[in-house]
Amino acid sequence: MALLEIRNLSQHFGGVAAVSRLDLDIFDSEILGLIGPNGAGKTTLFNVISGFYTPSTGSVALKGERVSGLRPDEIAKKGIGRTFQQTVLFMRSSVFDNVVTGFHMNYTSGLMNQFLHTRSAKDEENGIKKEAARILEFMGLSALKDELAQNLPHGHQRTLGICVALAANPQLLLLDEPLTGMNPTETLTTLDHIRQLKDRGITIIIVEHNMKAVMSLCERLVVLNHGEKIAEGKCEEIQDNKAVIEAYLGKERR
Amino acid sequence: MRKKSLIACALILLVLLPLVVKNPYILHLVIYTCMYSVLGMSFSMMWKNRLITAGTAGFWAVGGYTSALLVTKLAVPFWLAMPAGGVASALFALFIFSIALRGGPLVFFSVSLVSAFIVMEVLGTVSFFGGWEGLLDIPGPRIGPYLFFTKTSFYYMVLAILVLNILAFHALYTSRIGRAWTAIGSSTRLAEVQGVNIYRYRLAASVIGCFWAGVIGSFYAHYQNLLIPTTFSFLCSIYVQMYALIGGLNYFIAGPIVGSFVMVFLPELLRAGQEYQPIFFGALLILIIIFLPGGLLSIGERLPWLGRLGGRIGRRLRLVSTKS
Ligand SMILES: Nc1ncnc2c1ncn2[C@@H]1O[C@H](COP(=O)(O)OP(=O)(O)O)[C@@H](O)[C@H]1O
Ligand SMILES: [Mg+2]
Repeated sequence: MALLEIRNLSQHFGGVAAVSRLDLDIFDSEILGLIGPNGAGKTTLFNVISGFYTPSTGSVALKGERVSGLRPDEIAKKGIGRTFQQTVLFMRSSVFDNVVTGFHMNYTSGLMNQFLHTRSAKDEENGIKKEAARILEFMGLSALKDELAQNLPHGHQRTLGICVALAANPQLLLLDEPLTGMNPTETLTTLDHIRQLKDRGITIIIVEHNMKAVMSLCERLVVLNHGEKIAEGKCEEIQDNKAVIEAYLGKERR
Repeated sequence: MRKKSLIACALILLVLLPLVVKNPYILHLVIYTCMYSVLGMSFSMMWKNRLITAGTAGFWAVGGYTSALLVTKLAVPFWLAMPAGGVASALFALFIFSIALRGGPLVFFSVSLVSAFIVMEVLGTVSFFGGWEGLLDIPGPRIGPYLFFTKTSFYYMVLAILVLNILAFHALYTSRIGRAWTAIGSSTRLAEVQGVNIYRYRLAASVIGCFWAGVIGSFYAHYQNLLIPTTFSFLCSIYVQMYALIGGLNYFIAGPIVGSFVMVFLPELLRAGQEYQPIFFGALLILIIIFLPGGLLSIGERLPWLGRLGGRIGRRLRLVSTKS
């Protein structure tokens, strides 16, 4: 069974069908590349999966359980994490605080314990701080942990976005153009990190315009155009696909 | 360690204050400062979630009237009536805001404004509440055989309330709950994606904030011995907001306290009469917005020669930094 099943999914904005009758399966521990020209509906699809929109038709199910129609925080609790195309962080908080805040739903001790700062709450808090430090270490941001998020260079902000998403311990991670604004070195490190995440059992859907990066990362690609799936398959197949070439070239010629 | 001893020193000074300040009028102003500090912190707790309440005075009134009526009509002991005032205000907030928050911050603002207005109208027109002339002859607080009568005793009572309030809010702000509030204030989208139930956390902040506004309402009622509906007008809520803003909106505890202190005492120091207060307010507000948009407390973070220390104290006061 697929981890995420998308069935007959449409998302209309007025007359525009940003996503149109989409069927898609995402399998456990894969990296799926989602590509397509600007305005194809990739971000909208992420917004539907993570609960910011209730789809006009169709459904999204995680491990057989319907999640479309739930609130974003409920969907997050089911194990779907994401980053945003435009960097979204807790800008006035430190890098470390950003990640600790990301752990919000991993707490088990009750609110009263939290309020009274009891022993068990403190122990849990320390455990979470350690975890947060580990995530920053893994993504290479340890040295910057006391900087304010707003003062980071753009590439590091993108990386921090992934760190925050990881704090929620997601099963499925949606990355919306994680490489924009990164220099070639940062791009390579980030690709490496994403591979390691997959090895840890996190399933990933990545939207990315950097084709070389996508080809090196994904086994499988899905191509959207005008909200519709125009191709799906292995990287090599997609490269030679006529409809795909047309969608991209047609866009460029205009 | 240094932080703890600093706090201990401040507390001792505050406890010894009545020995130094003999003038009852000054003590009266200090009592008002404490009262407005509690109201301002109530406003700030909602502001932390990017909710602007324009109804602080309404919840203040609910607490005051509840407590006063319980004591006068039902002979409930004061020490029970005071928390009951807080609970009444909190329940009222729960009822109003559980509906209003379905509509987001703008609806929250309008509903808080309108409900405070309705509270004032009801208190003024329904004779049970004493009408526009007010509810008179509210007895002073009595705990066991002890009757609070002198300014000094009232000072200690309001100080105790303020300190409890600070402790409670500090515990909240430095816990996971406060972190969720910070997240909401910073980006609702990201907060949601990390699993924060925006509606529930905003509602909690509103209810807790209004609880304390109600508690201090009870204090006010038994301190003044009378309640007049027009005291709790829209203007009063706006003043509370201004106090918090002048102290610094991002300093959720220290901001309202500093702002209230300055705004209660400065007009007195300048020997300006009550009638000049609005002009004075306007002028100071404009100056602050131009030169210190982060409020008086942001001065430490803005002066370069204070350097890292100023920044660190500032961040401490904003209660946002977790030690790594
Ligand atoms: N909230 C919205 N309201 C109206 N139209 C939208 C909204 N979000 C996206 N769209 C439209 O949906 C289409 C797909 O946009 P988007 O999902 O951002 O594309 P992509 O991420 O593939 O570049 C575009 O035509 C865009 O204008
Ligand atoms: Mg996009």
